[in-house]
Amino acid sequence: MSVATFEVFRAIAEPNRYAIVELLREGARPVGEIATALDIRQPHASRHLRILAEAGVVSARSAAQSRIYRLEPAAFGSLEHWLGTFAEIWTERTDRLETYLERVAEEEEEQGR
Amino acid sequence: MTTVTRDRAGKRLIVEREVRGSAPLVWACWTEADRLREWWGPHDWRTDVLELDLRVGGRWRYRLRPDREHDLIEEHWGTATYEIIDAPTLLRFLDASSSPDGSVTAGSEMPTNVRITPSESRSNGRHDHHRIPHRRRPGTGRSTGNGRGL
Repeated sequence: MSVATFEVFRAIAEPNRYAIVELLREGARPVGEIATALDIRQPHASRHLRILAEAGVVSARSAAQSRIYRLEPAAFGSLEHWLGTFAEIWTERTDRLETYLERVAEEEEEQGR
Repeated sequence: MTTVTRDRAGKRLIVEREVRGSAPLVWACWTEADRLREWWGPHDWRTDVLELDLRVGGRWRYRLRPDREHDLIEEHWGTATYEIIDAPTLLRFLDASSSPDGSVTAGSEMPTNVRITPSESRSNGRHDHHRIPHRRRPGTGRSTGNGRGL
């Protein structure tokens, strides 16, 4: 799986960040409102938003006294994107399963000798 | 090679992979903590198995974390609940993101079926075939889910 794909997965898998994504589905929000809605401190909300922004899930613009966050439709939101993300995760996962099984087989062969 | 088929109408992925190993060994890879640790997480990530209770209704809790130095905020916690256990051919569990204490993130549940069948394309019978219909519900069914920004 590409780094970018796993970044998106990791970004949205954490419960607070998942809640932020759900909240932003309803529309853009300033960081203060996001913190209030999730009942977390604003610096904590900002860290989560930074992770989401680095993964390309949200983007920010500066308004009068705050930063307004919104979902990035290009990176997130379509079923096609979800399927692509999980297709990559499962491809890597099954690659690793195969690699592990090969290692087990080698070890068994060595022991059998 | 892994084949991934996108079933858009059924909102699921079908992942197929031929691997080397008897059905009981492949089953063990999916159901034993010491083996899951070796492959479940992404490359350069560590999988910690915190609980694995292989019974219908039992839970498998895990944590994924980067090998490199990382922030706690970067860790991913998962909780899966077993629904069907039919060794060594069919395993069904509801995988979900969760908080460290195991409470599941609403809307993140992914029903996952693992079918282990003898390979048709190899004659030596040592290879197994995987089918993992992997259902992912997009969003939570909230009526505003298709609104602005999406």
